[in-house]
Amino acid sequence: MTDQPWIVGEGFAGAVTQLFEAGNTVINSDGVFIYNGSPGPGNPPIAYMATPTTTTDQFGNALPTAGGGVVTVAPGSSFAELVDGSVAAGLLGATPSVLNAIMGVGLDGSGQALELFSGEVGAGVASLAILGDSASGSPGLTVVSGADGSTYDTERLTLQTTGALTVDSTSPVTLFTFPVAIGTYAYLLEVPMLGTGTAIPQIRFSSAAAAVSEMQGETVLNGGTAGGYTAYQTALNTFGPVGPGLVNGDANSLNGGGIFEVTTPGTIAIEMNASTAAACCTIPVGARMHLLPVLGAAGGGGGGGGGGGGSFGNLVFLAPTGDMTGARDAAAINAVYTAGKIPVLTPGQWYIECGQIVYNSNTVPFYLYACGNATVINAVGAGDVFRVYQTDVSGGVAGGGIIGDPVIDGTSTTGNSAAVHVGDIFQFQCDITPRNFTAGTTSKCAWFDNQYRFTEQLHGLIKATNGTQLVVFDHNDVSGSSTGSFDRLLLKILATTAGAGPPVVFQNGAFAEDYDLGIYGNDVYGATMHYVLDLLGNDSAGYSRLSGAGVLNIGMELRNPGSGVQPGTINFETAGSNVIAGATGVIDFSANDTFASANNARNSFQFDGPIFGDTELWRTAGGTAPFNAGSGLASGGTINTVADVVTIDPTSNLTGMIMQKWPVGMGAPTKTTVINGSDTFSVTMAAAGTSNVAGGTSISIAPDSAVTFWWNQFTSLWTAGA
Amino acid sequence: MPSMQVSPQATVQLNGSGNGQCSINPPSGTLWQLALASVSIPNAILIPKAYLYLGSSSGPLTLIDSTYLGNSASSGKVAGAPFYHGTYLWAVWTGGDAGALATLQAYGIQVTRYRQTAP
Repeated sequence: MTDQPWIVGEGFAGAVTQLFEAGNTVINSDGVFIYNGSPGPGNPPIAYMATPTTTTDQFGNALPTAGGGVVTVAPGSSFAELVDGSVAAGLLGATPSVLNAIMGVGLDGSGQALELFSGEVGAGVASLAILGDSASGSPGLTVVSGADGSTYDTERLTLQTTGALTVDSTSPVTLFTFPVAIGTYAYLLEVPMLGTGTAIPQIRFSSAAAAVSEMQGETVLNGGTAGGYTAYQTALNTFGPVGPGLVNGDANSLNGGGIFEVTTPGTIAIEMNASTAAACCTIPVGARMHLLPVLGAAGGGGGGGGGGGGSFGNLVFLAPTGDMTGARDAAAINAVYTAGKIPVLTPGQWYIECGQIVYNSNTVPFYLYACGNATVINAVGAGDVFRVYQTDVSGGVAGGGIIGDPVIDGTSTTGNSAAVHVGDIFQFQCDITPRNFTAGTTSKCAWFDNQYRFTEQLHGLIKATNGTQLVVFDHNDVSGSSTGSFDRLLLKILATTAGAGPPVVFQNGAFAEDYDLGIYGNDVYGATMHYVLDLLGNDSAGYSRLSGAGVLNIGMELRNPGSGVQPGTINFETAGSNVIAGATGVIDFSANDTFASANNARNSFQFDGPIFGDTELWRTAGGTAPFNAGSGLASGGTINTVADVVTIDPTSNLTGMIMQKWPVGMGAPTKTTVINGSDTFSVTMAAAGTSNVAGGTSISIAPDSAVTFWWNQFTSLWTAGA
Repeated sequence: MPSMQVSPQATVQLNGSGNGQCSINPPSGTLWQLALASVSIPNAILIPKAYLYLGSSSGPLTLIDSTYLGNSASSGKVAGAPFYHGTYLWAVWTGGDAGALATLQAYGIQVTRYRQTAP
């Protein structure tokens, strides 16, 4: 036998423990027990968590069943309470408590999972916030505004009536009240109405304290049943355009929406009243108003005046009213201008009565924004859809424009009309898609018209389709000091004629210098003759023209459907007066079918650039000889000097001849060569003061010879070359 | 005193409640000086508690060690007592898988002629 002592090794890991004691805490198979003092008989635990069947601790002490403890899990219960004092018998009972929380909907019969109070809970004390209000169908957080009983669902951003309201007198009944901060809000009304009273229900926004600078949108009353409500609505304060029109529907309800801007925080109320002291209607529980603060800012700037500051500023987003008479949309837009704001026409079908929107301000530029071709403006009646001008003969405010390329459709016009009639504004921008202005003999897709001053630096893109005239530059003097100037024009025109009329017209002395004009598109044979570019008429200061240097690009394609009248390229109505001079660019009429050649091009056209598709339009700079005066000249006649080379075939000796000075607006000539094609007769100039030739009668062009004349800008005389 | 390394073992199939027990003891004329005893149940799903006892052929008598990990555990507390012939080492399992095979195995030295004194 060994004498060595037994050495005990390490035992099992995770040895089975039946009882754990740590100070005044005992853990055993029945639960956890906390004692005040040493555990033992006569000292029951002050707190415990035990199995439901355990009624005593290991020492036989009865477990406490209520109150005084810190944490209890009472036998048979399935919840815990944190209490300050005695445990309430109920969950949301009358016992005062800081917070009673229940988990699970409907345990107290209210259908509300959690309510928060500002003070003690008691009978008649309304909660401030409700989470999970199954009774009202709102699972989210609901805040009670308290003033009128309506609730504000912060999750759905919805005000909702919680009791039925009777509207049967002229005294307003409040549906909703809500506080508003500075900002812009979108709203939507869903107000069902019961009853078929004879009085007319009226609804209004009442801002007792808040300052609402602007309101827009509409409220529509649907009343299709017997005794249905007569259309009516009204607005208080300066809420802007709220039209009176209503649309009959199938149910008695009042629906509406829009936006409003608050500049001073306060409270706004939605009120209803009867038009007379008679039965009107009842608003049941559940009438709603959705209220959405619109975040973000797009405002400031832009010259509309007023507004701004944390909201949309000067921009006012409008939705079409659907009124096909064109009155309401026009009124809404005009109201925006009246408020010093800028309208943004959101996508949809708009109707504007011609002649209703006339904007004349020398200090605030006109702006209209659209959402591309998704904004469709239907012109109704006859006249100008947008008449925009200034009367300040010495210069008003620059800028402004129609921006965003709206469609302006003249299909519904009934007489002479124009999508836009703009003039006397400096640097106006015009991006539009006008179409179908053919109802009148002078209808136009776009009409730029100088009446008081001029319209220089006009710029933009016009996509014009089907007009009696598509784009017209005009001069109709009213002030007595206006000019036909469209100088520094930067405009691209995409024209689709549909055979109706000319794409571009300069008339009544309208002209442009230093311009960049592009005319592109598709033409087709029409019922009457027309030209791609018309230069027509004159005013007291001169003829319609494109002169004084500029870039003229034309690219038109013609389609011959097999009938109709062949259109022409360019019409110089008066040769030598209605002119294109000093221009460069590319002119192409050669695509597809052939245009008729230009009218009166000779002596009217000076163009340095490629030209295709016209036998009368010649590139004049660079040595070509476009002009042949032929044998028609007589003594004392004028020799054309617009072309680089002029050929004369006299049938007798010509004397007293005049070398033409260039027409006003054509700039200064450089040189021209006159060829005497006769082998017999000479051509002799008049005196210098008459002939504009230095040397006067001493200058003669012998038969079968040529003389090149150089323009002396310092003497304003032609000088014969050696 | 001749001695040799031994690792005796015993196995029991747990009953329908997952309980069972088995024992080992040294042969006649020998003494076990055990260093370790292990309990194991391969592929156990329910993890049983296991207890080691000193006892007799009639059953366990004195608790040596216990564990909540009765499917795989070992204890050195068996080194605290000599196992003469007639002294049994019992392992008891509770709460295991019904029908599972539970094994008790010990490791130590078996001594023979331990009663003889040195010549």
